[in-house]
Amino acid sequence: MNTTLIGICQMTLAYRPFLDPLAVDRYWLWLLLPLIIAIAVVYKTVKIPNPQWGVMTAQSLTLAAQIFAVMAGAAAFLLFLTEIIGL
Amino acid sequence: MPEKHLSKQDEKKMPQGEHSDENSQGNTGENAGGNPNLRCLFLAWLIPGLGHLYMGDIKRGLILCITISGLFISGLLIGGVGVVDYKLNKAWFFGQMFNGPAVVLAIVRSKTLMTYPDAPVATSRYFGTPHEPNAYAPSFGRPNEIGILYTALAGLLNLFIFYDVWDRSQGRKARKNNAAQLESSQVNT
Repeated sequence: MNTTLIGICQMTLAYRPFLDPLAVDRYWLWLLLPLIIAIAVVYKTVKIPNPQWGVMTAQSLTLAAQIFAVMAGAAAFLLFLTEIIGL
Repeated sequence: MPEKHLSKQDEKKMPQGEHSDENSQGNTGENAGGNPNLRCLFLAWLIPGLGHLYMGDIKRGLILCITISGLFISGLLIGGVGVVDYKLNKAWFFGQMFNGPAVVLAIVRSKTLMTYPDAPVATSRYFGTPHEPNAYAPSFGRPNEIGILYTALAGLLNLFIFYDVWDRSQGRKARKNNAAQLESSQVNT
């Protein structure tokens, strides 16, 4: 067993759900994806008059992709401002 | 689509299959008796989606319940119970409080899990020291931020649900959908 796996096992064993925070510092950005999907699903569930799984899934994924694209664009713009122009 | 209220003549013109939007969304609060609108709102606050379930809108209620509760519980799993703190994160708690369980949790945390809940906010005694620890580990940095973001957005999404529950319990949404269907049927004919 390599050291990374041992580390993960130790971290998991020591973790008390709801009482201890998870060590998400390295992959926190990925946690925005479930957030986007949840927002899209809730919005579409409310807006679609008669929710059906196929329509709901397609429309929610489309909206989630649109939100993701806007966020990625905003991130790229801010990266450009701060790292390239140096504001 | 402009809002259009149906007159009784319009309702008579509606084909029977298109008339049942209200039925397909379950009972609106108007049919439930008592003061159903406030009851629906309270249930929606207590558990997200319960307002829709109470109105008989099972599928919508289940989706909302799973999504919003899942988001809230995920936030607590990531950041721990310390992310719901009405003294430390007042502005975020404004969003979180629209989830009923968040308010209960904040009270339980301060009453039972903290060694010194009345210590000045953001001091070591408030967070817990090695000699006087709280029953939970406080989170800092990214886990704290993500946990707060998840729980606050769950609350704000539930606020959005409040409006929908209110709208549906008043029967407005069904009337709007019927009006839209009537318009489209008139255009087709």
